[in-house]
Amino acid sequence: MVDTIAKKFYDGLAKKKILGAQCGACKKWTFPPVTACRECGSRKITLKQISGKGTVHFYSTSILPPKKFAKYSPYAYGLVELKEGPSFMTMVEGLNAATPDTIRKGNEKLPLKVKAKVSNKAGMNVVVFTTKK
Amino acid sequence: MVSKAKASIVGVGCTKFGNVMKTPGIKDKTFHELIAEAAFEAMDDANMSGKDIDAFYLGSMLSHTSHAYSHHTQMCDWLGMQLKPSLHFATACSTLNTGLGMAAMSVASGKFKTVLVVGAETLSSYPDDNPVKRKAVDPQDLWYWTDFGVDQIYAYHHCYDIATAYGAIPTLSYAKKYGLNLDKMDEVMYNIYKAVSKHASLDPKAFVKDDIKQIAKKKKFKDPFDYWRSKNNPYFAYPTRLLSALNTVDGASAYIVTRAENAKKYNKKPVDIIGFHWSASNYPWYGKDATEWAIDKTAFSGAYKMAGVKGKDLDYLSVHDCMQIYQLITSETAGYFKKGESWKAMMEGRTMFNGDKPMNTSGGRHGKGHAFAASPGAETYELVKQMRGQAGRKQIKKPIKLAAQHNHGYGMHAAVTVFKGR
Repeated sequence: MVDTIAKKFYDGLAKKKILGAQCGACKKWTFPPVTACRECGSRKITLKQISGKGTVHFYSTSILPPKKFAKYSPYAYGLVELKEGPSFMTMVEGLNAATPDTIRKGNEKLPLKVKAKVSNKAGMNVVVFTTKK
Repeated sequence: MVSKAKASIVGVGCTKFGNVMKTPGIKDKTFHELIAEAAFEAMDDANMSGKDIDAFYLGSMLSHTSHAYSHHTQMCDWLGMQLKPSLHFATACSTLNTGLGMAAMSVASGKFKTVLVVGAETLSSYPDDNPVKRKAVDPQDLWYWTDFGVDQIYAYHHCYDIATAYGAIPTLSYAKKYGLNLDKMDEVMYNIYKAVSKHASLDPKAFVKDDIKQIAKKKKFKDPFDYWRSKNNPYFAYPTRLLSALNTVDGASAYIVTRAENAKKYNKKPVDIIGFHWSASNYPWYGKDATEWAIDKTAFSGAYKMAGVKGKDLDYLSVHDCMQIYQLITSETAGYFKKGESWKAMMEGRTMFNGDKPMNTSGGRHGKGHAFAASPGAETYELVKQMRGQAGRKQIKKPIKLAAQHNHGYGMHAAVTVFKGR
């Protein structure tokens, strides 16, 4: 029987808990969690809280943001490598995406350590990262 | 050793790419008529009619604008193929590349002798509750519907931004990896666009009609690079400019695949399908080195293994360039260029039709235009025409004996097919 993983993930966010999946076979992490390990395909996964620690490597912003997130534009959308291993992409607070020049200068300062947090974006609790310590 | 083919392309067809509300040649044509036009050209090219073909596979992605998803059943009449086996299939923007492998397997299995594959997309408008009255699509709606192709449980809702994911970050990553500052990277992207726009200007079916020199001149710029850096060409997602990104268009494409041993009965210059492979990956498609895409490596290595070839052996390469940064990244993954070397080749114009390493000679997803599922068929059309020596003013001078075509399908599928001329 397949677990209600997506619901547990989003219910977890409402309690400020950010869940990933650790594989019982290869021990590697999948984030966000799905029904099998993204590394080895095993179904022996356990939902666990991630550390929330990560490193942002690149970011930018689009002049044609998705309809759902247009009201936040321009926002920094970045590639974050989690301490647990997986890469994830989401909004990164604390990075300046106001102009091409600030994006260029901002990227010159990367990689930077970031911390995950739960934030309500367009009516849903999601995971974003912040450069604030 | 190069593999022996079991399946060959004996007919190709392609409509003009543009806007069915405006573009001469396709104006006022319905989705069904676009499909018929591409299919009939392929049938004529193979000296066949619908009754000579055993089955047809119809590829398209966006039902929001086609207002159709069981269209293969509707299309049997329009194609003259009543009661023939048919199906609808999709791997998004790689669809008609995937169809090459499907058709090759179908004829190689012995079930069918000949298969028609046709793809179509109408992205600029949709029927406004009236089949011959269309309404223009709002670009944000188009991308909202398109983004149904990316991970809908997590990625989309986490502030997903396609232009940054697909264009900006791979470009930043390529520049960082190979020590190019972002001014130099901009110059590299300009040089890629020179080839994109030149090829499109020489293709009578392409959406873009002018090369960069003509575009700049019309806007009163003496130096095309000044135009490139002007407000006419803003950053779509820094450092990716608008002219480095796709143009969404309407259009259809088709090809006919038959058993290799029968191919010369239908066409004097068949093109053999000698290898193919596909790979799928959920988001994100890369890690901190955004130039390394596992799906592309998997698709190329599988197709090359089946074909018995290597990337350095290719005479022509077509890569998916909805963001032109993939002309760099994917040509290196393909082994067509060594890692970190493709940008130099683009600066020197070597990938032009008259260069020694030709690529994407119909103008790619910006120049020819991006008609999601149908575009890979337009790229196969170009490749077959080049291999036959029928590519007109942009004919590559050296004989094209071995070629490969790569496509991405949102989000994300990679399809690679390897072709051999006779």
